[in-house]
Amino acid sequence: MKKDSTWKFKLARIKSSRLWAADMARIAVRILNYLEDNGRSQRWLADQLGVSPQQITKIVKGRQNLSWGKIKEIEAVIDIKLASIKDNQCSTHQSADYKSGDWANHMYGVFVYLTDEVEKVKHKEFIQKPTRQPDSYYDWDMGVGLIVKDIVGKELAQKA
Amino acid sequence: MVVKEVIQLENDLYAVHWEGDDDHCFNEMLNKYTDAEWLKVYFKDNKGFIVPGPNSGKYLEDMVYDTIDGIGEMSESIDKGDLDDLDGLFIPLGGNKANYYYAAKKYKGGTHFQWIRIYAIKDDQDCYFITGYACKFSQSMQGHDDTANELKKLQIADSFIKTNKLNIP
Repeated sequence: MKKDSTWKFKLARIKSSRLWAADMARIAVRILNYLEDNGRSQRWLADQLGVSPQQITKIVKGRQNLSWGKIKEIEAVIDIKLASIKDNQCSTHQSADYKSGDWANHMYGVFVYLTDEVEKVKHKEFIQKPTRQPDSYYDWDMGVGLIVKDIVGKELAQKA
Repeated sequence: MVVKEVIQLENDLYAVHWEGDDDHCFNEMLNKYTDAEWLKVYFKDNKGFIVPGPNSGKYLEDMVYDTIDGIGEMSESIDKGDLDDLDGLFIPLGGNKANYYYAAKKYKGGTHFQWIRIYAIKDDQDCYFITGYACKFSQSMQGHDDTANELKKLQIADSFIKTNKLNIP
């Protein structure tokens, strides 16, 4: 009788990817929804990102552990939010950079996230509320400072 | 439905490779139930069975993530030694026992992926033959094409194992 052990490798792959698999599936579904809603093909996305169609296939199947930087690259192309730290839908601590110990790239990801958050605060304080007085600039600085303190503090605590 | 061949996975564990499929059914399940793209389409196609239904209140997309995470959980428990206790892993299928020469069994997913099923036949040498898998969307197996199909596969495999005396070393 024929024997097979490929299932063991598949199970080992599934087990080792468990920490990030559901998060990447979430991102995959958001990308697929975007492509479907906008009549775009996976080939189009591959061209936009300058990657092979095979890589896109892997991403939309949720089998690619994307780095934070790559997620931001895709977001820039399709103009939708795929993941954020705040809503805990894709913790940076599950990113490939963090796990591989690539601290520099990981902190770059955190920086990109912080920039987004600062932009949000700026939008809320100065665009949605244009009548606010100049003294509120101080509050805004404080607000940004607190966000930075909170996020970096969490990162350092995790690293420790 | 025709059995192409029966593949040995472990000492007492086998899986049926059905004619027309690329691989044996256990590998087929591992491929499909960890594929976000496939699952998204599959749950969307079965939307009518899911809302309202036994999984009412669950969003289709959540089911994609929960299925993938569920297969991850299953892989961890198998790695911890669940395959050493196949009687603990598979429970009796229920239904009409007269339809089978041997015993029909099922694996049922945990609470957050309770729709996942893996079906098997246990012969009189305590060997398990995985015959297929499905997402259970209806109360009875006949209530959905996929599970109804799995019932047929169980019966065909049961007969095949008996006829070919696969349990004899």
